[in-house]
Amino acid sequence: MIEVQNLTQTYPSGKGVFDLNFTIEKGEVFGYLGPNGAGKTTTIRNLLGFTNPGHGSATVNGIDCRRHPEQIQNMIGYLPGEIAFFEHMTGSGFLKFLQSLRRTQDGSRKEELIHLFELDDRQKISKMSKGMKQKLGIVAAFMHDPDIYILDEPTSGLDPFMQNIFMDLLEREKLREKTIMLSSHIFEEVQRICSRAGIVREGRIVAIEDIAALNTMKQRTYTVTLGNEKDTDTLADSPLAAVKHTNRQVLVTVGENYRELFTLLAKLEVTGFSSQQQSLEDVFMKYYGTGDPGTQQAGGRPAGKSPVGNKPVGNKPVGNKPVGNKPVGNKPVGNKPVGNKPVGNNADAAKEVGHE
Amino acid sequence: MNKTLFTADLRAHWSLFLFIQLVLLLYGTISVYMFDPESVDALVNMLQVLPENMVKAMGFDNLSTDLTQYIAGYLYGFIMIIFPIIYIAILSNNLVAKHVERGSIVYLLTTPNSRVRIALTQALYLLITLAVLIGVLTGVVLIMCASLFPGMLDVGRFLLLNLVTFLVLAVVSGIAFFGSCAFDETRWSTALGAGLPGLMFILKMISELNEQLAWVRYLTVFTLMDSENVLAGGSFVTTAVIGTAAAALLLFAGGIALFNRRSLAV
Repeated sequence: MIEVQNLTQTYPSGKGVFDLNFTIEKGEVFGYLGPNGAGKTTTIRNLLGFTNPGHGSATVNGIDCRRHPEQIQNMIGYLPGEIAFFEHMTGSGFLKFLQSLRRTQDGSRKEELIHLFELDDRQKISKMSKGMKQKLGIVAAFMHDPDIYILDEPTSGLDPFMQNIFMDLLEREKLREKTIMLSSHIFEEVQRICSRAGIVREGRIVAIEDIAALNTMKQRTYTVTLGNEKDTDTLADSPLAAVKHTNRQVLVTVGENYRELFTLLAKLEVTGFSSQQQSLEDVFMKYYGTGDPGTQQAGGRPAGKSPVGNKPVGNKPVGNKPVGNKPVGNKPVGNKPVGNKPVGNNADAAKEVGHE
Repeated sequence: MNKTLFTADLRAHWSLFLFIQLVLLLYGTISVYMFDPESVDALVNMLQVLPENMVKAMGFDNLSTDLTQYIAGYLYGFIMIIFPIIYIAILSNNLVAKHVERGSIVYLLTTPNSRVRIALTQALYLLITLAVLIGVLTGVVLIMCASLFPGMLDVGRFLLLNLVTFLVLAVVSGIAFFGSCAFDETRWSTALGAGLPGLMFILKMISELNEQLAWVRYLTVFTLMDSENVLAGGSFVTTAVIGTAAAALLLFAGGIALFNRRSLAV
């Protein structure tokens, strides 16, 4: 439904997007994740036909987004990341204006949405709060019941209650087999609704992952407190992904190898044991590091050797790093003192995230 | 042309239109009302006290006891240039560049209306309201002259003068609209849309200062609405009408084409 091929657009500043490739199928909910300035909005600008790509193309339903933008617009509900309305209009005036420009006169869904989000549409837009403007943008994007939603940071400016209402709405649209592209830097949003996520950093897609795969990849990091320094060193020097935190504390990240951990712990004087929840965010963090994106594409991918490695995740070449490699080599964490532990098991990059 | 957008433009910009229209009507009616062949003589005598160049620069050097020439000299040398320039500069900037700079153009582009259609609607709004500004003034002056000084106005020549005025201002609109379509930031579009017409207006005044500077008139489009030449008719008017119409068309077409092709950072 949405297809991006070799899309490249460079700005004079040197930023932009470079050689993007991804496809979003009909009915799929695709997360587009990346930090601010990674190129999310630039990608979306191309999907809506606002900008001329340097190379490559973006198509929606087979229609080139830049050549015939007017043909795809009514299929798309677009919520801009930074919304600017026609400020002199009232909320309802603006929505009527849009309906008329779109030549979609059925207003029943509009009324439902206004009611759902408690939008006060009689207000002049210039007098509206940020949250109210965001709601107006949402109603504008959803009211013509398009097949595709392109949402750029949709929950920004909404209070948690409204964020929930919005996510519920998205889930209903998902059930109606709408195609959704959700650009966000908020992992929970993507985790909750998306089936796949593309991770973009410095204008390049560094990974496209199944959310399910990422969820399985989740690991825990435990803080083990020990009775003496000798045991601390024993644990820290063990083949486990363990890092000495203080003289009495070691951080151990565990994926599947609980048996190894507890076999070792049984021999030591353990005085404390607590866990830190590792979120999907931590899994993603490895793509967000500050290293050279090139090395990350090669080495940062855990899929090859992770427990879920045989899942068909993404379309990027899977990095074939030897298992015994120093973790620091395939981690973008740079100068973190993480890499001095040999990883003897099926440890992968995702696991080491736990050290951070 | 999109009716919805045109109506929205009207709602957003009617106050600017009204302001400029009222200013033009104020000057127009007063100047016609003040016409009195004898008092014009008195006014001409009074102006003779002022430095000749200053009077020339103000466009009052050819005040005449003939009603048509009097109106042409009084209104079309200064008032009918400077106020339309203000209108054109502000409006054309608001019609495109401001929407691009603010990002509200998104809500026009994400509708099944092509960029050409959107830009064309905005261009037509500019040209149509400009025509109305001049048309209303023309009508009011005609009515006033018919009731106050029946038979004294050369209606044909006066209409011709207004046609040329509209076309010259259409060229100015074309320049400003082109700037509005070409730039992402309003400061650049304003620089072109207000700066260039303003500069040409100053050049027109300079060209009238003395004989040595007369060549400057070739640098400014306002030379084409020189009332003496227009009222005289002949090849000057033909050249002016064809030249301005072609230039305006080119500028608007160029602006719309550029807007259609370029990348919009929204």
